[in-house]
Amino acid sequence: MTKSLEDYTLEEAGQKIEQVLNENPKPIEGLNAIYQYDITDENQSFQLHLADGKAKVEFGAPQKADCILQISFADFKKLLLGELSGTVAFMTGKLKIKGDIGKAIKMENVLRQYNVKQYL
Amino acid sequence: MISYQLSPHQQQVKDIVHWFAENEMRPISLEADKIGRVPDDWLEKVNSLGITLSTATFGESDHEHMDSAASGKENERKGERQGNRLAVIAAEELGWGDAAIALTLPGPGLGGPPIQAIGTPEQKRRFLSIFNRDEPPRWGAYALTEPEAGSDVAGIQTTARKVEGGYVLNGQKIFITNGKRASWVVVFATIDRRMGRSGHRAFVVEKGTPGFSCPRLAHKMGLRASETAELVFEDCFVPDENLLGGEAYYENRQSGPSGFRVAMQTFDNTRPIIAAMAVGIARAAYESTLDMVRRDYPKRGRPFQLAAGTLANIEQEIQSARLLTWEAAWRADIGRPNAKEAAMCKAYAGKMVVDVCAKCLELFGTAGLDGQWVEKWYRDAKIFDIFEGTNQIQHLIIARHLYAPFGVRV
Repeated sequence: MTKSLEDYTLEEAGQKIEQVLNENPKPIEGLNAIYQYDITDENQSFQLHLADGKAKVEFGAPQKADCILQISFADFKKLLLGELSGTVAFMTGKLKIKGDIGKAIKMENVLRQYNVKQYL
Repeated sequence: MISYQLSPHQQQVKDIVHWFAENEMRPISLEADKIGRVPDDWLEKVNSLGITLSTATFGESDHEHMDSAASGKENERKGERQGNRLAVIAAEELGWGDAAIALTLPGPGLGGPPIQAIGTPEQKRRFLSIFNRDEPPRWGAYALTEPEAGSDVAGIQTTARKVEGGYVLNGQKIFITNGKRASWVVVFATIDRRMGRSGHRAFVVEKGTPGFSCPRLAHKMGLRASETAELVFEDCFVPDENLLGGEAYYENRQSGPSGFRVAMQTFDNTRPIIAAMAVGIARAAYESTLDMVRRDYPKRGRPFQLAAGTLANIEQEIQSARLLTWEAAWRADIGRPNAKEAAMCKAYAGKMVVDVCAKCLELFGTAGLDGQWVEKWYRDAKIFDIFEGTNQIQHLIIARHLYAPFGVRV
């Protein structure tokens, strides 16, 4: 264990997500969608492309996303660590969703199946 | 003045709850009504998404919410509180989806507000922390109504006898939503019937407590998927730790009607939510009827004019009820008393939804009675002018608040 998630840059976090999803692709099987995370306080975006049980992270907004999630970087990390539930984040206005709400809810379910801490 | 335009956050909450109502609730609505319960696997799925029926969901995160409530500084937190407005906006969409399923969503339900309002910090932790998406779905419940005391709350007969280390409860409660499945029930009882309201105490009785049982579920006209239980307490021992607020709370308020006040305060929070659900049901019936009229009615002549006029009147009624409801929620958010407004919106919306569903059925004609959504909503609607205080009681409350400033006691 070298670096905790709290210290990650957005690039590092994105790469880690891609690695973790591809190492254990079961929860993302059958889910074909492009998710875009707008990290509000860093003024940066990255996209998570899910197709055929594979995950690919791309920075910026190269394609049209099915669903855009807007959140601060600190809250995004909390979400990944399971310290903040997507539902609570949404209800308290920390997370904003644009586009396909059904896909956003699916992602919430997918994230829950990863114990992020074991990968750090 | 207040704004009638939803803030971006309010609009988001409305959109996502509507999505949930349309895509998760509606598909199981008719089946749940038919089998008289909400399927367990559905409840587990929804629970794992963290969706609960609790006003706490709409405030800060649960933890912060509990801390701030404990220190009593909720109103002074940074920014404007809007939990009550978000709750009524969400409740309208849930009512539009299916009110019976909405009432069955996991969470503390009606039992939440009294614990939030007067529970000790330890009680809040113990009873409100059990609702967790990583564990099986759980419920709380609120038990006030008895065979001899519904609207006449002061007349409750369930007794609480002080013994060493706690109280012994004896009595019966009826029409308790989620009473059987609940992990705990807030139960109102009297330590001395002669004391009237000031003898009332609220206890949190946990599932499995010896002497506490649920012998029967009611079979109802509407809201059939929602569990309505009869509860019996036979020499049921409840430890001191489960007296809501602790002895100190009642000692400090010897002069006031304490337990009764706890029971009534709950309603100021929950009546607007019930009113909003009624608005949601009415809107569902209206939209469905509007579709049918567009599709099946001749587009000119007397029948069409009559139908269009009726629909316009329905829309006007729904909007009136919605605005009264928003006002009651808004007052609660800015920390003003809202007992009168909560009673008004509940009374108005409760009657409105019954009228609207009846008119929609008329427009459908006999076809509406056979396998149509409108038939279900009509059955679901009636309870809304009865539970959480009948309309007669709401009008009494309104009258008391209106005339008290002039020294007239109603």
